[in-house]
Amino acid sequence: MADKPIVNSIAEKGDQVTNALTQFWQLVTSKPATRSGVESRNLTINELPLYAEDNSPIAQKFLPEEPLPLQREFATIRIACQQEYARVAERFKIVDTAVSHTKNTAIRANEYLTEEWTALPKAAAITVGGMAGFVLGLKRGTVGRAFTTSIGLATMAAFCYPIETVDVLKTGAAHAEQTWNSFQESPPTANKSKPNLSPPK
Amino acid sequence: MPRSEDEVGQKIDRCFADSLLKLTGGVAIGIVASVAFFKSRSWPIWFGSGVGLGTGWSNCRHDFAQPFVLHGKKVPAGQDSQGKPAYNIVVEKQ
Repeated sequence: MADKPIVNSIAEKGDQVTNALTQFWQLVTSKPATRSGVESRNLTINELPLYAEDNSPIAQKFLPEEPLPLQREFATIRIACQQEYARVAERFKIVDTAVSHTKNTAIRANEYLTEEWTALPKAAAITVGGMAGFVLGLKRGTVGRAFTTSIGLATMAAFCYPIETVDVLKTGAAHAEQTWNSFQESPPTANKSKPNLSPPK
Repeated sequence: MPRSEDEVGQKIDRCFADSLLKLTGGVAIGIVASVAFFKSRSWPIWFGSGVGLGTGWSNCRHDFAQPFVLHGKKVPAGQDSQGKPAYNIVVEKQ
């Protein structure tokens, strides 16, 4: 039995790799709703859990416990701080805005880190990529080291967050296209004559 | 019906008071252990304070994760129809 010519097997492998890459790209660029494969089911209004009396009553649990020492003092301090903060926030809106933005960001970050278990492994992988880039660029001087480190970080980030990478690339491409179009449509600069700045003779 | 801000505030107070209690206990045990067993080294104190802070933090997390827990005390209120002691539940207030 004669073996297949090596050219054919190379071509087959190439096709397989191309197919895999195409599939990967399709999965990455498809919309999340179609990707998850979960079909949505429409509900009538009656089926929505809108009314509290339909829910089973929430069981309260009772802990026999005296107030802890210093708890009332902490309450006094907290209420005083709240009142002072309300005064400041009413006087300076920017303080209130900054504090609420910071609080919301912290809450969102905490929720993300608590519920999304892949965040820390991804962060570790990206860090390892950056370290690899740093080691590879050790002999290249400061600029080269920064370059290889950022390349390592960006590569691992692109692997860990492919959807976001595609989004960023698409946004970049759209901006570049927009800039190129506006550059093409820009009118040619008028050939202005230079003002005569020489002193009168 | 207490406001939710007040309930959260009460939990925060309990958290601070509990964490301070645990931290003080940890530091105290650390000082005693440091003097008695570890030739007055400083690490048992840091270790004790870390344990205390961690315990307080963990208690806080559990307290905030359970919104339907009432803290309070039982007050004896005579006997019920079967002769068993009856209690009224008095919820902790600010």
